[in-house]
Amino acid sequence: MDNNRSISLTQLFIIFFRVGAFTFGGGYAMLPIIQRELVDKQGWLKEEDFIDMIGLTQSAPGPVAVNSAIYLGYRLRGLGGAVSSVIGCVLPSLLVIMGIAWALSRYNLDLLNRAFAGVRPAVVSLITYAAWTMGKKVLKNPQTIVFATVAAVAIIAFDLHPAIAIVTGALLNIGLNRPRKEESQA
Amino acid sequence: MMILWKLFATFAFIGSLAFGGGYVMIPLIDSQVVETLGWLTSTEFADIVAIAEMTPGPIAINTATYVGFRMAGVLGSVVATAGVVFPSFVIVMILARVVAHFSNSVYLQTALGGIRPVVVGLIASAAWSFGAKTLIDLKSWLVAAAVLLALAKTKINPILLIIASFGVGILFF
Repeated sequence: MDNNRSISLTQLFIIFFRVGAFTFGGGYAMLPIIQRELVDKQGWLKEEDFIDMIGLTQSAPGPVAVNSAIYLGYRLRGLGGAVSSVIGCVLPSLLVIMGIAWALSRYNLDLLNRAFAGVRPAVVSLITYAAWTMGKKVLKNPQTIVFATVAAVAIIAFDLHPAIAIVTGALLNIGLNRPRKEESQA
Repeated sequence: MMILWKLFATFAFIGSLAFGGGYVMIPLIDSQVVETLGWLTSTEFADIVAIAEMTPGPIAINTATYVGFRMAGVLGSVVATAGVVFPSFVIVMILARVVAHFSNSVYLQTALGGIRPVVVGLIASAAWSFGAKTLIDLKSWLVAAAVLLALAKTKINPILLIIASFGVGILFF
C-alpha cells in the first residue's frame, strides 16, 4: 500500500474533503465513509490496514479524522498525499465556520437545530456499524473478544483514556504471545 | 503579524496535547484562549463549542477556525487551523514511517494483534456513549434503527444516509 503512484493527489483531496464535510458528532462517525471509499470502492487499503490505522493514530494527539487523513495520505502517496488529504479534511470546516462566523444573524438557527437532531441518531448507527464490521473481522478467538470487551467497559465505566487502552493492548499481546523471529503471530 | 504567530503557537500547543481526539481539546482551549489569553469571554466560548458541535468537521478544527476568524479574519482562521493540525501532522507522519519501516517485525505484528480488538472496543464504547446521550425517544431510535439497517443490508453511501437524516430532522424533529 505504500506510495502508490496510480493514486492521484486530487483523488485523495476529494475523498478527504467529503470525509471532512460529513463528519458530525466526533470523528468516529466518518469511519464508514473512509472505509467505503478506500477499502470497498478503491481497494487501496486492506480492512486490517484500516483497523491498524485507527489504533495507531489514536495513540497520537489530534482529531480522529485529521489523524486518519495524515496517516492514510502519507502511506498512500507520501508527504504530498499527507498534505493534500489533510487540507481536504479541514477545508469544509474552514469554509463552514467562516461562513457562520460571518453571517450568523442570517441563519435560521431553529431549522439548523432540528436538522441536527435528526443527524445525531444516524451518527450512533454509523459508529455502531464501524464497530460491527471491524468486530466481525477481528474478534475471532476468545482472547480478542476479552480484549475488546474489557477495553469497551473500561472506557465507558472507568473513563479509561483510549491511548492507554491501545498501548496496554499492544503490550499485553506481546507479553501473552511471546513473538519469536521465525513465527508470526497476530 | 504578531497576532498570527500567537494564534499559530497557541493552537499548536493545544494540538500537541490533544490525545484522544477533539473533545479532549475543549478544556485545553478554554484554559488557554479564555482564561490565560482573554481572547474570548466564556459565553462566547460556549457559543463556539455549540456551533462547532453542530457543524461538520472535527470540533478542534472548528473551534480553532472560529477563534482565528474572530481574532484576525480569514488569515487568522487559516493560521489557527494550521497550528492545531501541525503537531498531529508531524507525529502521525513519524508514526506512519516507523510502522512502514518495521512492518515485517513480529513484535509490531503482535502489538497490532493486541491493538485491533482494543480498537473494536474503543469504537463500540464511542457508539455507546453517543447513543446514551442521543437515543432519548422513539423518533431517535427509529432513525438510528433505519440507518443501521440500511448500512448493514445495502451498499448505500453513508453520506446519503446523513443527508436523509437531516431531512428527517427538519420534517419530524
